[in-house]
Amino acid sequence: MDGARNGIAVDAPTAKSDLELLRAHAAGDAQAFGELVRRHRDRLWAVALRTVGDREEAADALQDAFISAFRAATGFRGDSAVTTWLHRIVVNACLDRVRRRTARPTVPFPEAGPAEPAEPRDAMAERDTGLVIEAALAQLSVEQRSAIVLADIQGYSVAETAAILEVAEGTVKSRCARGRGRLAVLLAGLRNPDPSDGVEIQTGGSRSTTEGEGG
Amino acid sequence: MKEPAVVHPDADTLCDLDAGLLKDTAGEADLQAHVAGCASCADLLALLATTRERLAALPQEPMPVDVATRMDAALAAAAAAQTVTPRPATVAAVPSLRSPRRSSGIRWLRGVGAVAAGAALLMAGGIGVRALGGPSDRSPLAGVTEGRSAPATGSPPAISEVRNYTPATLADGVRALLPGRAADGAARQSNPSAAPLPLGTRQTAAESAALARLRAPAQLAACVAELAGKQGVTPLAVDFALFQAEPAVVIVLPTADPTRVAAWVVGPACMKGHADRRHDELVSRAG
Repeated sequence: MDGARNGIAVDAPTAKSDLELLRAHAAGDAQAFGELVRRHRDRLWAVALRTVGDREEAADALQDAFISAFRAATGFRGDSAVTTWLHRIVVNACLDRVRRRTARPTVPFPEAGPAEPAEPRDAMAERDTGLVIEAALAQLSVEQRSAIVLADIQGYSVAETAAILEVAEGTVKSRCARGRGRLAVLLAGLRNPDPSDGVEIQTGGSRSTTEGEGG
Repeated sequence: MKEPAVVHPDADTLCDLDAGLLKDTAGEADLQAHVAGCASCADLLALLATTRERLAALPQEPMPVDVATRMDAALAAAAAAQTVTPRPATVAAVPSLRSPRRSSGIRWLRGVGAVAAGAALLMAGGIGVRALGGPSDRSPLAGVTEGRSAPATGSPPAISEVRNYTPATLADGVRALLPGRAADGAARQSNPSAAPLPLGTRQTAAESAALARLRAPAQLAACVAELAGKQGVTPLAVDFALFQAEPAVVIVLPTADPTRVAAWVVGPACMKGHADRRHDELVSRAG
């Protein structure tokens, strides 16, 4: 598009769109798919890392995803953006891993640090906020987590997130809403260093019943 | 003035309100009115807003170099495997089992019995690990195998000596698995005398059992097809082994580049749709 203006940019590899790269790959260009992946790998890594919550497993999931995308590319019909399609394959590979792990309880899940801080809250507040948020994310269901990773962390629109996850937009909104509610409670300690014991917010976000008791 | 219908919304409702899920619903105005005058509800809404900000502000770490390198290698290996022309399937290879071309004598069997056995399995179909020294020929090698393992028909030996590969030793190990100079794709024996690996790592019965499923030719073929991305690719070598002390199968596939092979290390769960991939790299035949 822009590259057409000066005509010389034709052979610059960056001038190719995602779709052109994918088509080139399908046509046998051995470099094209690698380039496509390199172009998007940082955010795909971020998605995988935060969805899976473990570096090694995230790398495994990504590799599985890239290989299956590599092979499925010829069947790409262009009914979604290439990036949406790539994200979908990556997220599905991550969900597969997380669900398999859940089925095998021998693998310990990251423990719930911020819910019950063992140290004074102001000390906790000085810790790396990012780590605390990661740990809180790990406590969400994988459905809520993947929606939040895509929409709230990566900043994709609800529509994009829904397309990646292959669910309705309302489902994305609802998963994000409930996930945020849970996170808000888990992260309340970050904002309120004062030891005013319980966070006086009650969520029905997890599995607690809200039958009007204790109102 | 009437009291608002909602007296004290639960947290889920507030989350929905925050997420815009209640837009244009009958209760929204009442909720907003309540929240405006309710400190604890307003607190939660503020906390939800902060949470959204915190999530959006999380730093984004680029893909680490080691992970990026690994992805590049995996894709290069996949690209190489994909462009390979399908070889004649297993049947064609069977005669070579009956008159094996062997470059070095008896030594190769000791350390790498499982290697050739894996290849033999793929070629001959279901004979089992012992088949190597058994029906394939009547050489003294048969005695070696029998002597070292339980003579249980049709089941792998309880204990055999296997290699324990690591990422650092895989390339050399794979080269040792490849047939000598006669790269005609038919000879699949290996020459461990060239292997710089410590041979003779003991594989326990449990480890052997972990890989038992993949010793079935159909299962192994499904795994190979998953790696190659298509049916009918005959591996150059298969080694039931250890990788970083974990049970694993090293599967060597041809690539479009005659000077290089693709070495895949898979775990016991390798099957259609799930390669259980542990490691892979392109290995130059020449070293």
